[in-house]
Amino acid sequence: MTFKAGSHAGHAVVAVLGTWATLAHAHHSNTAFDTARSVDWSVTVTEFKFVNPHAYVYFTMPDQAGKTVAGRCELSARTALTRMGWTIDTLQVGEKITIRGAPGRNEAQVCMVNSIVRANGTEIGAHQPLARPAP
Amino acid sequence: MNTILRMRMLCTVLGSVLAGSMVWAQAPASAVAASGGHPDLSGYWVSQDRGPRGGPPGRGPPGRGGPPRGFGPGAAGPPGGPGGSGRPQPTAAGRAAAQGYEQPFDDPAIQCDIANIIFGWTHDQNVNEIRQAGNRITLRYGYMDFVRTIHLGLREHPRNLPPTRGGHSIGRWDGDTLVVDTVGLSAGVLIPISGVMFSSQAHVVERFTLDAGAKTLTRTYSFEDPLYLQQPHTGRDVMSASREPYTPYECVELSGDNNRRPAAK
Repeated sequence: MTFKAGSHAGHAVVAVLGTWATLAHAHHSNTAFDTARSVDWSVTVTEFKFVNPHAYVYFTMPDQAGKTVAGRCELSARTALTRMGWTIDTLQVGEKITIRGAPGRNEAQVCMVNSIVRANGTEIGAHQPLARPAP
Repeated sequence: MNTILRMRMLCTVLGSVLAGSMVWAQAPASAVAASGGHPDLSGYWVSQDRGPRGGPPGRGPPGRGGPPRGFGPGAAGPPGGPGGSGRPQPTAAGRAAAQGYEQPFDDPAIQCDIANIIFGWTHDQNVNEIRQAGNRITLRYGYMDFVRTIHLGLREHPRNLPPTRGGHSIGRWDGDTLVVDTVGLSAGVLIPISGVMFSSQAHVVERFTLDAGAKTLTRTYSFEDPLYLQQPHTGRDVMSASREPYTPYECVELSGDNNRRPAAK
């Protein structure tokens, strides 16, 4: 089991494995999210659980009243993400990101990730390879 | 025998065992070797289709011996599975059994369960492993770390089998095709996304055929359930020999309340 409780590793190693794309497959919970709506949450990563059948990014963010609340968003399976070049170091604890996704139907501050935007503006599609090898 | 000699012998034996296990662990799909005059299916195999999701037919590339690649949005198996016969039509009893099924809350994956032996074999293109030795063939599914044993040389299934997810499987060779007959399955869901159920009366016949030249393993199947299905659900999937080895799935379900039926919270 490979939980990431915190890492000071350098940049994510994404190039080598980034050749395989697959559609994110919320195979047991796609209908648990309202894909007709979208959220755009600016969050601070508190934990990244790189596991099967779905990886999760845990975070805190301010609610409408300015109070800090915790949340989590779902990604594809670790195996599928790995094929797209993700590693346990792709998301760093403390990293500020924007999550774009579909909100949960049954729980607040929960979503299914469509993409993640890093502080430098780089957008990571949840369903696309992180990097492609040079042709 | 002196102590040093005993230690050397012990080391030799341990070394042989370790080396043997490493060879097996690293063995690619042999695809061409023969076992007792029959094809040896041992090795790592990955589906050429992503498995049933309820989307449009799969557009995956032909197998190139590696993990899946190049699947764009919309790529998926047909509703009944890769090459399947479409959505199985339930009987009245099958419809009744599906009445309470809600995929967000009842999908077997939430319990780290493969759902059934057909679905789990191809789902999400995890790398499976087959080990063929003596009268046993072991299928280790890359999805959920599920393991099945196929017993060769048995003429019939044991009586009074306790139902399990994998049931009891007997294998026989029909020429170069491995025919696997399975009963004793615990009731469950055949197609998780659409909630087609099966009962413990299900009877599954799978036929595994190796193409040694193409290094592919084709499975056709017939999933009969006289109680819940109007007709047998049939289908076909193709595995390619995988360069990547099997890796443990290590299911950790974290979906929480979002996938719990509200009344059950």
